[in-house]
Amino acid sequence: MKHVIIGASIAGMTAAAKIKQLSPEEDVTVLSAESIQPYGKMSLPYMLSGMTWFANCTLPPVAGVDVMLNKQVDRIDPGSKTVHTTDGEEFKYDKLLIATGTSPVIPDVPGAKLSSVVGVRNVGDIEVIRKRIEESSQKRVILSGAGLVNAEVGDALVKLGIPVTYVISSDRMLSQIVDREASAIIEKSLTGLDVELLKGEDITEIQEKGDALEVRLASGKVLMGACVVYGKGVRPNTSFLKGTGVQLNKGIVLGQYLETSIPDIYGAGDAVETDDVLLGEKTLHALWPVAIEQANIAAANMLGMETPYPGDVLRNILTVFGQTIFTGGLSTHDEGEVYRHASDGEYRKIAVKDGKLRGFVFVGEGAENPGVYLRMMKEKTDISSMIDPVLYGTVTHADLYPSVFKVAL
Amino acid sequence: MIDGGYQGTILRVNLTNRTVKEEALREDWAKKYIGGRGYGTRIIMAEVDPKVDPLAPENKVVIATGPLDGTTAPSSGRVMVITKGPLNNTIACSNAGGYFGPMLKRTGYDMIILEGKASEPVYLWINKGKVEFRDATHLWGKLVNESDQMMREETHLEAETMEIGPAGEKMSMIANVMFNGHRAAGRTGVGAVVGSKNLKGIVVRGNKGVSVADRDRFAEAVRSAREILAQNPVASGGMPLYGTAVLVNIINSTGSFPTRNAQDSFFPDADKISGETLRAQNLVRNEACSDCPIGCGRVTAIKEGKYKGEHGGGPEYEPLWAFGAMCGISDLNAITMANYLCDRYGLDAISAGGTVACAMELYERGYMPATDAPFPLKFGDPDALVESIRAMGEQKDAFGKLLAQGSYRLAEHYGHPELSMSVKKQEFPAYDPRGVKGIGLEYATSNRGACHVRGYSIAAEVLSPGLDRLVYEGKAAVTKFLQDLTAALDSSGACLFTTFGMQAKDLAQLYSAATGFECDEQEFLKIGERIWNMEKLFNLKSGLTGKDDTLPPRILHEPIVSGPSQGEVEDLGKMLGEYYSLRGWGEDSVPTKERLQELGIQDLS
Amino acid sequence: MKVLVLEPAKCTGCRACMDACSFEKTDVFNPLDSRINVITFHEDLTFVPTVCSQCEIPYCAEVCPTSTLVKNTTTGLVDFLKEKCIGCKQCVVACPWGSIKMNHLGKEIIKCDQCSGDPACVKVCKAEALTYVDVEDMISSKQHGVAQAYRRIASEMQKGVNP
Ligand SMILES: Cc1cc2nc3c(=O)[nH]c(=O)nc-3n(C[C@H](O)[C@H](O)[C@H](O)COP(=O)(O)OP(=O)(O)OC[C@H]3O[C@@H](n4cnc5c(N)ncnc54)[C@H](O)[C@@H]3O)c2cc1C
Ligand code: SF4
Ligand code: SF4
Ligand code: SF4
Repeated sequence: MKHVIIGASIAGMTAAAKIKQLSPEEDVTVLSAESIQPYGKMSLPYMLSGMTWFANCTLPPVAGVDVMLNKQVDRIDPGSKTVHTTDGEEFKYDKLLIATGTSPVIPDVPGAKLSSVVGVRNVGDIEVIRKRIEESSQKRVILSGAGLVNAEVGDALVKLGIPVTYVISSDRMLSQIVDREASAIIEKSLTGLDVELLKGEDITEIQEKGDALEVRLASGKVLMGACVVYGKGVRPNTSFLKGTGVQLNKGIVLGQYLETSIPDIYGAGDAVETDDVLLGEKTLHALWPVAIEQANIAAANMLGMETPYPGDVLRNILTVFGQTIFTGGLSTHDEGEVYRHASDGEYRKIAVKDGKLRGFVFVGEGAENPGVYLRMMKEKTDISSMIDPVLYGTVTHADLYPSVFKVAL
Repeated sequence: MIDGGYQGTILRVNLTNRTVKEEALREDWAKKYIGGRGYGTRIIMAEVDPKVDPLAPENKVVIATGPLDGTTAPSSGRVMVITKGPLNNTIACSNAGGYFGPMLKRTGYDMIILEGKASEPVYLWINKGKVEFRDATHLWGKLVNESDQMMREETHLEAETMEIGPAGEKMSMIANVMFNGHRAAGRTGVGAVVGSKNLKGIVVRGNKGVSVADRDRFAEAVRSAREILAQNPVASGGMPLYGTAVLVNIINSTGSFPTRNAQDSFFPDADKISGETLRAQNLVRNEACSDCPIGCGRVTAIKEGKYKGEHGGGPEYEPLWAFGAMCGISDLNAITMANYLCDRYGLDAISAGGTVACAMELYERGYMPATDAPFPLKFGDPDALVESIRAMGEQKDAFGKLLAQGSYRLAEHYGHPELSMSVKKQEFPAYDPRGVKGIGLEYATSNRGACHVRGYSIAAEVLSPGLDRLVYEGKAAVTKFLQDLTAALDSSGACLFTTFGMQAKDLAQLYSAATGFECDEQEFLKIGERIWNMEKLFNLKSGLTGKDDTLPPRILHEPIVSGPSQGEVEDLGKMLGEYYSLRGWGEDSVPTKERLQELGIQDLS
Repeated sequence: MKVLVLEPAKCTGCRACMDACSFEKTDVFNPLDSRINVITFHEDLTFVPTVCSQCEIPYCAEVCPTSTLVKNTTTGLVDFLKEKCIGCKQCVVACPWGSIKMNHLGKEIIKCDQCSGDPACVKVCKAEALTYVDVEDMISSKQHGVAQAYRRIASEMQKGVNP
């Protein structure tokens, strides 16, 4: 059977490897729009800070799998089961996997198309940043948005000794993943660092001024910087699906077997919308481990091994500005019964409803066994008898399976 | 420079002003007194007037670890409470296992000095170098297991705790200081001193590691020490299998198992309260203190009868005897319950059992009027035991208040102090000197009153084929040797039970490798002797004299009625003089200038 | 091939393994740097040791973006190649047992490497709650039951989503 995979990133490569592992004789082709060997995109901030290097972040090649570079797909014909690329080539498939991920959203303001205005998604993007801070007379980098990616990018720049300015339309950092209290603690850890935080602001215009950028804000304020990095969300790469009938919402809507609405076309990774166990509806998870899990399951289904996808939950772990942040589920606001504990720059919050964990935010020490938190949410474990251990991060797998682990003599 | 073993910092806590201060550990004192019991006593010597009222704010308490705490040296998790004891005005040092010691060290402090008195009940929360005074009014009156849990819930679930129970709060003379909710620093009423300061407890949590001076040498010393214990039949056989309770049958079979307030010394029902029975009937699992390969601790549950469903730690050998033979009781469940209650109220189980036994004899002989007792106090009555402990813990009535003062004050109240089986007002433990001669010398001379763990001669007289238990010759030397060894060992943070197999040279090796202070066997024992003499000096200044080095008249004059030691009495005089001269003390038990000079503590006299 | 076998029922909670492990790996005694952990249940005083089970299909390795964690088919271990690690902590969240974690400074990922065949923790476990045995021997021994229980849980977890 001939399997074609669009997108040679973590979802695409994981699926390719899984197919080969389960059934070595399958024919697998991966089409990549990029011109370089596949690599892990979540390592980009670490490459920027210099803590790691490109070759360390490449995804291992899969024996027997052809990864074709510079193959940007622009059209799919489900009728003839062919995939068309911008260079005019055609690929026939029996089973097709869409693993095209997302692209950063860059608002349509004057100057947004300048080459020194980027969103971090590819190696090329961090090369732009690096080059600009080297060459520009301005060292400051202007970060629009303080979500996950820009938090990490800002942290990497600070490690390099580069001053940064966050321009954020909301009134707090990381508002998409943490609550107000946690934002305050994270913002507090910026003191002493060369980080400027402009809240309730937006970029309205960007202009090239010699080797630097002049950035105009809604308030009229003007900033100078080496480059502008947008981190105001992402949009799934789905434009090539136009006319195929593949059902789209925010992303590609998938069924229980990670199939699209068109036969023999599957999806995995950041581009897709799947069940969220807590929300009870489909959503974009856009997370690294979720992409891997989906890729593995999609691969099995492409081989005809019916494997339902159980859904997932939102979660994040990241360390920025010296603070480790671990969140999950509904973490930006309070819902249900909320238990909180804050002391000395540490913050813990859990939200519980009907005895079930609905969300959590830890800043600082966090949890002894973080994996258990996802498990509790996914399995809807009744935690009413262990609120304290859950809040204080001491809960472990043994608490969830006492009959197995707590064996008496 | 101290290279390892110590964290190098002492925390001074003033409860009156609610202030804390960090002070450097003194290297000269560390070398002279090791740490723990020795160093702590040195602090008390320097800072507390020996004449002070033990329950006055001027008294201080040192919570101390030793250089081996927090390492893999076997059984090295001890913590010591050093203060002037209210029970008998001696230098009190009580020692507990568990996890508090190593965790205290990981907060970065080798010791805590507690001084003054808080105006309201408080507890301390020491979290990674930060110290907080926390309100404890809601914890006041709570049982030890309750406050242990509540304090951890309010701070951090995996923190380690020290706490007193209602007995300490109400300043019972036999109140202990508990650790981890069920590990007791039991003797000499140290809990009352903590209670007098309005301190409910201390919660510690830290992230600082403990280093040693010579990594490879320490690793080898640990390996060798653990190997010695693994080869030792008591440390790796009897203890893990039955806990300290293994001794019930052993000691009873020598006829040295004080029964019914020592009116006899053989308990025909011993087997019903033995380690073997405990294992079969109540044991849930073994529990070990930090880094302990012996694991003598028992986690037990009462599986039938009126206390069904109760669970906790122990009982150890001593409570089995104190609540069992000493009170003529063979109901293991009631004994276990009495033990749980002592842990919960924060009472010293040996003294509590000795006091109930004394009350029973006073009652049976009619010295205690029936109207004074809320229920008949008959030897052998399990309910009387359990209810007496409850009364003692709660101190709700005159009876409870009286019992909470210990057997000496109780017996004195009824005009018969001779019926208190105590030395220097402290109840003696589970070995009858009439049947094991050397232990009588230990009881008489122990610096904190009757005690078996200052110089555990039972090891030489009963548990190993070394010495005949019924002879007097050689006992003075053994006692002195063991007392010195134990003083140094306690100060290091290791558990006494390591000496089932390990010798002074092994401990000296661990100590040297950890601290970088070169120390051989002789030097280690000399440190111990120095500590012993320092303690003695404190007691002399506090007002005790050689006359206090004696035993209850019953032990000296009333022969054992039945069993293998039938007819025996103890002749302390046959050992005491020799002991004093071995110690280099005068006949009045006062250390000579020369000996103090040799030990380098002439300035303390 | 040898494996570390855990028997919670025998554990006395002395935590010597944690001290020994940190000492072996860092020359300092600090349980927070131990690769093995003993979970304590205060309410009934039960103890559950946990250490990396060197999974057949390691959850941690699967999510590592830099191939820092690799299943070694010769030794059976999941190797951690320190220089490659970027500290993203994906592995920490992925492991169901909390067996891969940050050290006490929050700076470095740590995980059990079975001390290259000479486990320090086993040497101090007098209770024999930790043993290091040949896989073949284990299959025939009574420890088998315990290992099975762990495996059952592991496979149950595997049926679910990767945490
Ligand atoms: C800076 C950064 C930090 C991150 N940090 C974290 C983190 O800490 N934790 C976490 O869980 N997640 C993180 N993520 C998200 C994580 O990287 C993604 O979830 C993951 O990369 C998704 O993988 P994917 O294969 O689905 O898509 P992508 O990695 O986006 O890859 C999609 C690939 O498809 C290609 N493609 C797109 N369209 C076409 C086309 N038409 N034809 C051919 N090829 C095409 C793209 O060029 C790209 O190579 C981070 C992402 C970034 C950018
Ligand atoms: S760290 Fe966890 S997931 Fe990784 S191999 Fe060990 S047990 Fe498995
Ligand atoms: S923290 Fe290191 S080992 Fe763990 S997933 Fe990230 S890169 Fe891999
Ligand atoms: S085998 Fe070694 S690395 Fe693993 S837990 Fe034991 S001591 Fe630590």
